[in-house]
Amino acid sequence: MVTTDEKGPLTAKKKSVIIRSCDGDEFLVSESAAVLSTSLKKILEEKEDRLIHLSDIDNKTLAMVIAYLSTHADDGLSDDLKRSFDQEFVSGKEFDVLKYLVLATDTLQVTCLCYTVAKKMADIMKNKLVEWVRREFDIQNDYTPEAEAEIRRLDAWAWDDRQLEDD
Amino acid sequence: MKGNTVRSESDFITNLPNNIIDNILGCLPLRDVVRTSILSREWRYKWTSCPDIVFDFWFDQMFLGGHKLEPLIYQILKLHKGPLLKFALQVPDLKSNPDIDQWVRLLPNNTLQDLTLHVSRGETHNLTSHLFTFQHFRNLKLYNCVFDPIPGFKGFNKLVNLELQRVALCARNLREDLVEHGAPEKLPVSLNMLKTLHLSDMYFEKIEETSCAICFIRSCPNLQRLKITAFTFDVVDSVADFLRSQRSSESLTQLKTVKMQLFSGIEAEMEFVKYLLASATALEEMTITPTPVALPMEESRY
Repeated sequence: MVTTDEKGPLTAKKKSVIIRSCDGDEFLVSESAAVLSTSLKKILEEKEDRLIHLSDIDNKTLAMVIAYLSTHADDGLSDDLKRSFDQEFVSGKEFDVLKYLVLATDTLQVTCLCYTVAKKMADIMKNKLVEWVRREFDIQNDYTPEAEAEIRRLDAWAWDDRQLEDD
Repeated sequence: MKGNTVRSESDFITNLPNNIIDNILGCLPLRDVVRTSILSREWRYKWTSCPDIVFDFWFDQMFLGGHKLEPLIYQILKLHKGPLLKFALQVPDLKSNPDIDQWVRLLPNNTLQDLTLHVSRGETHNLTSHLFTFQHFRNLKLYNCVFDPIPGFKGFNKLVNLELQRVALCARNLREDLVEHGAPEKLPVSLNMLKTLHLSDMYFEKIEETSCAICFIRSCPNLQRLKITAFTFDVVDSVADFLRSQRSSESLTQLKTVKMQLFSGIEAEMEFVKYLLASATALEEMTITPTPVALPMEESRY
């Protein structure tokens, strides 16, 4: 737990932790930002040591998550600004970046960001042909043609492909 | 980059943890959700744990084609397995019919947080009593229904947003000491979580409607934002008298902002504003937007 006893608010505010990625790089993060991640908060409550090693999150992904946490921990920013930051944060990001980000936010339990990234991933998949999704995400179709035809027959309403995109 | 090497690079998305897949599915339109079943065998039933099921205008207009909606709703609800959080039925031309209750009975009352039922045509729909067994409602939107709680109904105590349009509030099982003007003084349960209330198309000429509004407002001790869109044509003196007779409420201490729209300035509306001003001791902002005045009337005088 954070103790704010004899030091006063100024020192308490400046408290920071060091987070190390799986590539070995270290990031200095304010404690108020780190505790927005439920997992980091739990770790910090349990140990004295202010160094946290994340063995399955790489540099690039960790830097993004930390930028997000720091923005959301900034009391000087209005909720509106934070919301538009969130929008900007995922816009234009490739699926290859998002997929590591979504896993990292899941591991770190940053629920809001995890949801924002999942939503962005859904936006990429929305209104696309099944063939497009399989191709784009390397999903191996292991149905027999008969089994696939049977599913298409069962949910016939869902397979009208007229409004769907293939690019 | 070595991050996340545990998972194979190919078919990354299939191997995501289920909660992430559910989050993604929850953000897709329902048709795309069901269509994931054909991606591969592993995807066959993943969609059945999608937390949101939404049949909306878009679904109806774009995807339904010649197919009938009713069997489809039934089929999807029967197949659904995971903890369902949201169910919305707001397709055009939904008539009151017994199917609606059958669908509501298929919804899980121990997980559902968000329910929208928009009965857009036909008679006011008498809702199944199953509705009152839901324990986790956070958002409840009902259109053209009868709200008739079962005896012993303890309220939806996690409710944050409530939207009722053309909903008949049935007092039969609420309390006995009330019914002078069609609504109780307060609901038997207090809606503690409710912070925002929007009363739209409010007829200030109808005493039943005005008393319902007052009843609701009094039952929300933590209400912070109140919006009322008026829909008034006639002046009815008894409504103003009724409002004048109301004691100011002590349960509006959290109310911060009030917005009144399409305000025509008749006495009943003025009395309503007075009632709010007398009751809401912490009020910070009240915005009153009048009904736009029709200009030709002005010109016709000359």
